[in-house]
Amino acid sequence: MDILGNIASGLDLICNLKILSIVILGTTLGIMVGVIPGLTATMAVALAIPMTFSMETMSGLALLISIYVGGMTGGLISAMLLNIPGTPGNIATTFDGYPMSMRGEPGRALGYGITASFLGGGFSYLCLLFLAPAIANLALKLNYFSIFSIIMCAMVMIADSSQGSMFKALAAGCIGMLAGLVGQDPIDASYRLTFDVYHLSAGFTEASVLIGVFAIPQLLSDMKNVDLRCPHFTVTYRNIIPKLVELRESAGLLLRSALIGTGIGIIPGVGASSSAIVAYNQAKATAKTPEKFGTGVKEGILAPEAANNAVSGGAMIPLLTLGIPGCPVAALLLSGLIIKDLQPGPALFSNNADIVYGFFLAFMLANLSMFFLMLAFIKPFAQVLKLPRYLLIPPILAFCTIGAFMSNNTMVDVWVLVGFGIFGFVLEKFGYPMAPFVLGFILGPPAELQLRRGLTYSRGDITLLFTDPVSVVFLILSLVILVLPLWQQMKLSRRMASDAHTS
Amino acid sequence: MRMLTGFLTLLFCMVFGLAGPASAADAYPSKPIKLVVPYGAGNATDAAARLLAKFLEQELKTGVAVVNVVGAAGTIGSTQVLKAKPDGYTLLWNHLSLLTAYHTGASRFTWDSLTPICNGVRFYKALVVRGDAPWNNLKEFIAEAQKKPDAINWGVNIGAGLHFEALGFETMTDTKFHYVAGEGEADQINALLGGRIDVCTPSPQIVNQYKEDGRIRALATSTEKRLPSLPDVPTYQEEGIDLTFVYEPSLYGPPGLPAAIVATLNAAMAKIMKNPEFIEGLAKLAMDPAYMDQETFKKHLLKLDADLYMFARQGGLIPRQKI
Repeated sequence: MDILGNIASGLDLICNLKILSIVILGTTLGIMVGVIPGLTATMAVALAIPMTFSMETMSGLALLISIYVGGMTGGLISAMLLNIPGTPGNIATTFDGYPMSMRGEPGRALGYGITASFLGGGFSYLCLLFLAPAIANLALKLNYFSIFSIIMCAMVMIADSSQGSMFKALAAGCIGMLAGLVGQDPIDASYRLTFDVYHLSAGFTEASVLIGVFAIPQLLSDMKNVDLRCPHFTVTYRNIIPKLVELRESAGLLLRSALIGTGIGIIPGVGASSSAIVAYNQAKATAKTPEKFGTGVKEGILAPEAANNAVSGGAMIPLLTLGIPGCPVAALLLSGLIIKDLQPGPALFSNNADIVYGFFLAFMLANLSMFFLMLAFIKPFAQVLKLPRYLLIPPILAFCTIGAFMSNNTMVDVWVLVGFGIFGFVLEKFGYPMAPFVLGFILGPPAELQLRRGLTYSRGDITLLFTDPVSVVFLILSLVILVLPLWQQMKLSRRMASDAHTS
Repeated sequence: MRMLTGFLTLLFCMVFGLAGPASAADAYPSKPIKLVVPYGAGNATDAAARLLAKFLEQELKTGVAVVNVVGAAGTIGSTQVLKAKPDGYTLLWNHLSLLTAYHTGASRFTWDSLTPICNGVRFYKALVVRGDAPWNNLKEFIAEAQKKPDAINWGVNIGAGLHFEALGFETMTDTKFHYVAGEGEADQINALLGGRIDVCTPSPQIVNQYKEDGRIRALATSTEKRLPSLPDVPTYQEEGIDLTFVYEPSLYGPPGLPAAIVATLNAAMAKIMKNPEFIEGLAKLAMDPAYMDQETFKKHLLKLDADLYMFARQGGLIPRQKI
């Protein structure tokens, strides 16, 4: 395939003022949507679909893609500045991003996040262009049990990476999974834990739970000292843009994280939230000073942000090569393609190469536009931290409520938000971290779905879980992650005991 | 900071832009209409709704906002319309899952609890197998299934449309398949290509996607006549199986919707269904217009419901305890 020639024809489609302005508009919209917890890229892309009916193919796709790319990135702003992840993909970003901001370095924190997002995204789009057909077929072979084990592994990792007691983290994760059980059984659609409340029959809405346990406790504890402001700081472009040396020393980390993100993106139903957690965990595991994670270290920001943006390129691979959307946004893009008379699937690459390359270039362009727009946004956004909390809390609360309402257009979701807010506040007071809770809630249902599906496939035989090679690798990895810290702790306490004995 | 406030204002406009102020005019419609789609954005039913909304806006001269209310096999969205004020400003866009949900016990109401307004559009399903599957045609496939009951894996979404189609197929051909649970079309194709299921019923578009690649083959379609897009693929009927299975997203209103509003909507819908631009848009989604006025539509639903009930009974789908 003449890749260069195709890129040139793709460039022809992309490089005009109209598309450029569409991309800038789309990314801006996406970033705004991403910043606000509860508003997701999926929603924004769905709203934009009718607009594309009357547009040319490439303009329409460019709009949808740029909203998506912006939406994937915007969430890091609220995660870092307010400790409220804008999207589930930004949960791991709060671990080190928020401490760094509160230390008076919000510009630096955001700079790392944006650069990592840009690089991670870019890497995954290159994978999309050059490796798509090969990897897509590999991903097809993953069976239900392998995907289940991968998800379980991500859930164990979150328990390991959150601060404080691992037992409490695991407990929070289990409570999260329990909350995820509410609603219809994913296989036979019978009702579980709905207590005859009709509105619970679809389960708790993800956005409401996410905002509830992250935003509300944060806002409630902020209320205790409403005059709190961040220490005086200045944001200059010199301290925003990471130095080349810094990036060079983290090149390996960035590459690994981007690979993790792209890989997870290809697997249907796993998603950005777990990719960020897995990347964060590997960053911590390979770091020289893992104990510093959680206090605001560079690596703790670079890894999750590179990974969650790399998911977007990965998720497009099955869409373009097989016509199978791997995530809700990909499904929307699919309908965007179809309405333009394009047939996604194996033939797309040969029949409409210019569109495929246009697709890729639109992603690249959106990525670039996201990078510069975010850089431009940093200064005004970072000023938010200078505002006293009593000015910040009411509008944030209002946006959270809108976000919760918007996801299904029902008031029930707002009450769920309030309920989980109080629940999260109480749990946090007793030292139970909220990140494992949310991960349990988000990843519990797909894990169950994959396992149960696998069981319908294997006619009720569980042994495949322990004989499938991919599944076994991830199960062992989970076990190691689970047992290693406990073992180290035991060793430490034994040594301390014997030290006490000898002295 | 000024930049920030600017953005927030813009966003507010975006959020509330859909719901414009209601002017106090007496004629219907005088304010934007909310069209509830009880499924996620991006699937076939939703795509059709978004296309229709655009044309309804032109016909009715008011905004038509597609709102996705997802969950419980479409039940949550349908319930929202069931409980809405019958003023014609909240409408439902749903297909036969409204009926199947009642038979499986997922919902406590069916089509006659709402006001059926008119039938809308129609899309189809094709019975597909992997390209390297040993069966060259439907007859061979059925013969093997009859010989080895419960051996061939069929991908379905348990309790919903795909499941009913499979049950209908079993009933009509005296076969028994092993059902592997999946969700939508994407899931099914993934499992089919990955070798975890042997057969499933996605939309015929998929077959075209793989025409050159050859990894997916269609054995039959569930339509009355052969599809123009798949001229070589026979229908069930042609193969001697008395089964048609089509999805028809249609328009419903809350119970007690006044006849005048039903008439206004019917007039608009009848006109749209003849609009070549709309038909062209539908064709891109591999759908056809299937307009029926209220009376015909009701009769149609009555028959469809009886068929679905029979499939559920014969397939041993025992209604669960209703909530």
